[in-house]
Formats: sequence, C-alpha cells, structure tokens
Amino acid sequence: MNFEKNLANNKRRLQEALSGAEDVVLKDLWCGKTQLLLAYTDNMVNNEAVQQAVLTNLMQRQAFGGTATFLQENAIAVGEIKQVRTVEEAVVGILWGDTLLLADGDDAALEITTKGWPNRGVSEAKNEVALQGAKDAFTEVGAFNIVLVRRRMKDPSLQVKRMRIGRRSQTDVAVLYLKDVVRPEILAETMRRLQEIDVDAVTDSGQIVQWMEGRRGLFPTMQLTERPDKTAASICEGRIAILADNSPTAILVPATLNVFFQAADDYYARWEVMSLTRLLRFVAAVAAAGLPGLYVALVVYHPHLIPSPLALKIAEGRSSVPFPTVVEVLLMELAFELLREAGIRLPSPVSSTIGVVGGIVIGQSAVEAGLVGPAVVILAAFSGICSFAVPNLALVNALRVMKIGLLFAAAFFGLYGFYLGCLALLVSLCATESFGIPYLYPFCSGEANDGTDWQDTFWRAPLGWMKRRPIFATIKNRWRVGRRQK
Amino acid sequence: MTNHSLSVRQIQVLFFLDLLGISMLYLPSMVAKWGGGYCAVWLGCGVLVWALFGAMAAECSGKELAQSGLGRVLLLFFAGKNLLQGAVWLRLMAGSLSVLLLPKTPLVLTEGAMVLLLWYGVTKGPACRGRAAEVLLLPVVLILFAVCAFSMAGVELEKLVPSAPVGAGKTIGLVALSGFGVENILFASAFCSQKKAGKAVALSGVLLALVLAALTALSYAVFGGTGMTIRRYPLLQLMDTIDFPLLFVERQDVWMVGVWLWSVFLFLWSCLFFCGWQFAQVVQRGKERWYALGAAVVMLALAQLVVTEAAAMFFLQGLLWMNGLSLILILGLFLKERSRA
Repeated sequence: MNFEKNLANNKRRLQEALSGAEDVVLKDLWCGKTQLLLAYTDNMVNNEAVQQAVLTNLMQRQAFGGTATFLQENAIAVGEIKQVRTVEEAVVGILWGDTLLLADGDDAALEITTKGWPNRGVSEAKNEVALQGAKDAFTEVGAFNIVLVRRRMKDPSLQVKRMRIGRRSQTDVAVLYLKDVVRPEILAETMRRLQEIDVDAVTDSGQIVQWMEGRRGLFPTMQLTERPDKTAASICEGRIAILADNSPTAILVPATLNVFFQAADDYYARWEVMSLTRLLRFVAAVAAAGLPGLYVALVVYHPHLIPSPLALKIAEGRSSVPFPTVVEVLLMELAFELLREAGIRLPSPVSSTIGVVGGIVIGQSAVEAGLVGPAVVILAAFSGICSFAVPNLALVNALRVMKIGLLFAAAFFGLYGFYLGCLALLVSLCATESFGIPYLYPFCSGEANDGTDWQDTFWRAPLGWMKRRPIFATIKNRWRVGRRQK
Repeated sequence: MTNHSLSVRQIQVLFFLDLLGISMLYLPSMVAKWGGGYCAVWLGCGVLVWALFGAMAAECSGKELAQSGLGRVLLLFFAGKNLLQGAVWLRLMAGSLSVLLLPKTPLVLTEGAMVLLLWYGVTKGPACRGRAAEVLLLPVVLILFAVCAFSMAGVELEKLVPSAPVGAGKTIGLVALSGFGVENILFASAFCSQKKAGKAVALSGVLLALVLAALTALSYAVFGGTGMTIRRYPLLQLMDTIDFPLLFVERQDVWMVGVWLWSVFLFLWSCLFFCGWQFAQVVQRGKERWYALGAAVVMLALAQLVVTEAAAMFFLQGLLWMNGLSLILILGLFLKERSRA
C-alpha cells in the first residue's frame, strides 16, 4: 500500500498496520509550517541518534523544503537514509529499529538508520577455544559481526549482500564473499537456497543450515563457526560466509569433511606441531566412532583375536557382570551421554563438578557393583575424550550417532558387521556433496587442484608451501601468494 | 567432479581394485598348480591380457549398444554375466567369511547383509563408487605393502628357483580368462566425462600385473610349490606367518580379510550396478535402481543355489567361457570403433 501526500491518512494507515504494537512511538512535530510524523520502536533505536541527529535538527529548522529528499540532504545528520514509498516497507523498517519520517504533502517517507538495540558486546569464543590467535567471537548483532570480519579484510572486493529471511521474523542475513575469488556456481547455489527459505521465523544460523541443507544426512555439509578469524580466512579461500542477525555463529559454505578437522590456530603455530595435532584429531575421530563397536565385535565374536593376557584381563573384569557385552557398553555410553548433556545444561561452575564427580562416582560404583567391567568404563571414557579432540561440534554429534550404528552392526555380525558398517558409512560419505564438491575431497578426486589440497589434510604443510587456494576458489584466482613471496 | 560422472583416475582405480579383490585370494594357489616356479611370471602375463582388453574396452562406449537390436542382446548377455558372477562371488565371499569370522551365522544372512549394502551403494550412483574406490585405494595399498615388507623375513629364495617352465600357455590362458569384470570398463567409460581412458586403464592393468605377480612370488617364496597348492588362500595365510612389530593383535590374517572384503565389495558393487544399468538400457524405461533391486534379489537367490564352496569354484570355472566371449566382444567393439574413427 503506497503512501499518500496526506499525512493524516498516512498516519492512520501506519496506526492500523502497527495496531497493538504499543512499543512503537508515533510523534507529531512541526518543522517551520510543515507537519511531520516521526515513528520508531522504543528501545530498538539509538536514543541519542534520534534526539540529536533527527529531532533537534528538525525542530531547530525554521524552513522546510517541502520534500523528503530536501530533508534527507539538508536536515538529518545520519549517514544511512533511504526513501520508502509503501506502508509495508516502512513497518518493517520501524520494527527493525529504524526511524521513519513522514512529511505532509509528500508521498515518500525517509527510513533513517538509527538501530541501537541492546547487546552483550564482543566476548571470547567459548566453543572454539584457541591457544594462540585472536580471542574475539561473533555476537548476536549481525552488523557487529560484519565489522569483525571487515576489520580483518580491508579488501574492496569483499562483498556483503543482505537479505531478509522469515516472513514474520524478518531476520537480517548477510552473505560475505570475495567477488574475484568465489566460484560463481557456488555463490549462485548459495543465494538460491537462501532465497528459497520460506518460513515464519528464523532465529538462529542452525535453522538456516537445516533449511539450506534440505536433506536427511548424518554429516554436516555446512560449517558453523563463532570465530571471525576463521571466517575471514575461509572467505580468503573462496568460501562464502553467511551471517544471520541474532546468531553468534557464521555459516561457511561449502564444507568438506576435511575442513571440520581444521582449527583456527592450526595456522598460527609451527607446522610440525600442528601436523601432529591434526593427525591426532583424525585418529581420535576414528577411535571415537569405532572403538565401542570394535570392542563388542572382538569380545563377543572373535576373542581369539585379542592377545591372551588382555583377553584374560577383560574376562576377569566381566566375570561378575550380569549383562551381555552389548548392553554393558550401551549402559556405559548412555551414562556418558547423560553426563555430557547434564554438563551442557547446568551453569558452568556446577557442570565441571558434575562432569568429574559424576564420571568418577558412576564409573567406580558401576564397576564395584559388578554392573560393568573396568575395561568398558575405560573404553567409554576414552572414546568420549577422543570425541572432544575433534574441533567441530556438528561433526562430533555425527560421530556419536555413527558410534551407535557401528555398535549395533558389530553386535549383529561381529567384525564382518563392523566392516559392513564402515563400508556403509563410506558409501554415504562418498555420495555426499557440499555445493557440488565431493564431501570426501581431497581424499577422493584429490587430483582436481593438482593435488595441492592434500597439503592441508592429515598434516598441515608449511605456509610457504601452501601457495594455492583450495578447490573452493575459482580456478581463475587460485594463487594466494604474490610475486614477492618466494 | 559431478555426482553422475567418473574421472579417468577413478576408472583406473576401479579397474585395479575390482580385479585385485577377486584375484588376490584364489589366483595365486591356482597358478601355482599350473605354472610351478614360474607361476608369478605367467600370472603377470595373464593379467597383462586384462590390461590390454581393459584398455580396448575403455576406448569404446557401451552406452551405444542400446541403440541397436543386436546391441541390446549383448547388453542382456553382459547383464546376465554380471548377475551370475556376482552370485558366485557373493557365495565365495560368504563362504570365506564363514570359515574365518562367522562360523555359526547362516550364509544367507551374511550374503543378505552384503546385498543390502550393495543396493544402497547402487542407489548412490556411479560417482559414489569411483570415490569409494579412491578412498579405499590408499589403505589397501598400504596394507599390502606392509604385508610384503614384513613377510620378506620368511622368504626362502631357493624356493623361487624355477623348477621347469611347465604349463606356460595353460596358465596364462587361465589367468587371462579369469578377469571377471574386465568388460565392465566398457560401461564405466560411458560415465566418464573425459573420453578415451585406454592408456590410463592399460597403466592400471600393468600395475595390477606387477602387484599380483609380486604377491604370488612372495607367497611362493614363503610356502614353496607344495605349500601354495595345498593352501586355499595363501595370501591370507601369508599374513598369519608374519609378526608386525608394535602390533599386539593376534591372527593378523583375519584383519587382512577386511582389506580383501573392501575390494570384493567394490567388485560386487560393480556387478550389481552395471546389471541394473544394463537392464534399464535394454528396457529403456524406469529407474536403474529398481532393476538393480530386482537383480540383487535374484543374485541372493542364485547364491543360495550354490551349496558348497567347491560348487562355487565349479561354477566359477564354468563362467570362464563367458569371460572369453566377453573378451571377443570387446575386441569386436574395439575394431568397430577403430574402423569408424
């Protein structure tokens, strides 16, 4: 519905559109002899900006040029102003924390950017802790998040495309990429998937990921990160970052399995040490997912494969256990998962206590009561610790599900079931793609980028060797080092 | 790198692993009976024939067969062959697993679980198979290399001294006819975006010949002629004779089964995938996955008809003529392609 030149009618329309929104302020004021209407949402605006840059400037003026354009150019001391002509646009702007200015006799309104909602400020990363490197993390304010990335990349080719998702939530989403490095087909696919999201409300990046993935797969094909340095580095590699307002995590696309093993500080320390750490993470992931299943397969079906002294120890520990091995392992895994879940939900000072005390008390009591064998307690704890060594929560969750799947496969068919489970997993992983890139790249199709992407997999090559950008970048701009770099 | 196409490298790896999986177990003992001290050499020569025909197949496109009546008959022949060889190898795999891992589990369950997984793999398309082969290549090669390296300690070189060059022609011929699945390269190349993968497949075949010859020579040097012939799977038992330093597990041959299983899985996957694809090409209606599902059920049923492992070997030998016919057809198609070019 378009605005008219009659201010009274425009005010009535706004009131109708915003009926019930009592936090919206509609203020009449005069500028010279012209009547104006100011509309904004209380506490969503920066009060200082509204009072100083808008109200004071307007009320001090004796003459009014007659149009919104005149006001925009002469009276309002705010940089970002746009003209809107429909009530719907104006309402969204008001609810977003902008201030709307309507003048009698003009059918265009001014939407003045005065957003100033409460926020908790930039704090330290809690889920992706790095020993070395920047400590800041994204916040819930999308605009701040863009600044955190922009601070690290003062490159004019860094593009920030904005859109709104959610019919009711009108969540502001920003898509960041380097226009000369991004692959056009991946960018087009990203924009298409974002534009196809048609839901009532989107309140977090996690929801956007689920709508964009649109498939029933176990493994994440989009990466979530709370670290601006990681986001900036990924953008430099040709990836696309999606920042949603109200969410302290960025979405990075595309994402192959390999990138989930990369942590931000892998690139800040010496390559020898970080290569070892990287290898350790891969081993830890395999152990986290596979150890319980392998244990069940060996103890239940193939005890002859276990060295005799170890087999005797396990048998001795299990002598008083009344449950089958599978149940015993499942019980312990359940206890571990419960402790993990309780630890997450409780306040942090209590959660660490629950974790330590719960682990020791439950483990020891269960062994003393003869409910589980000591080997199973060690196994559950070890596999749990291994899962914590993987630096991405989404991948850890996938590993947890995999663990249960392999456990049941081994329980039914022993080592054969375990192997079949691994093959099923391999098939599933091989069939997965992230925005057209094989999920297991560069472990498969690794020759695509002249094999250079192997330099950042199980090991991390010295920075001087990693001269090419990974496969995520357009083929026209794969070199990341300049001529001066030898 | 799309989800429905194979790269030349993937075709190369598939050729290598498909054929390695089915031949590394039974061929060494078989050629030892015929070739004596020269068996590894004859085996290598026979595998070179696979390489030659594989290269010829890679230069043709099996997709065009569906355009003529005779071509559809040929497709039906290849589909039937895939079905039969898949069933026999499924039975052989289940039999070996029964001996080594699951003595109490009914074979039909072992086979059923595998068939279910195979069908799941077929539904994921050809690129998935190519990628899986690429991923499996490294562990398979590493483990085989480790086996070779550590079994060197048990080598007695005098056992390798050629006794008499007996049965050369027979051995090479037998090995050449044992290339189950060579013809599938004809159809794999239909999914390859880069045409003409002949040289790459030939190179892969030469490598396969070297690997199989080396493994056979090694087994022969450890077990000797008699030892080779009395053992059903000398390569697996070779693993049991060695002790990996720092590895505290026992019965290492059982772990080797995992490596073998991965390769056989790839071969069976290829049989089921191409069987479904070939039927779909003949009928030219419906999705390949449903034909593959039907083929999977028939494959499982056929595997039940092969009651004993000896019967499976008998059937396998019966299938050799089909392999021979496949090689002739490949030659014919290759010559036709060349004359057209």
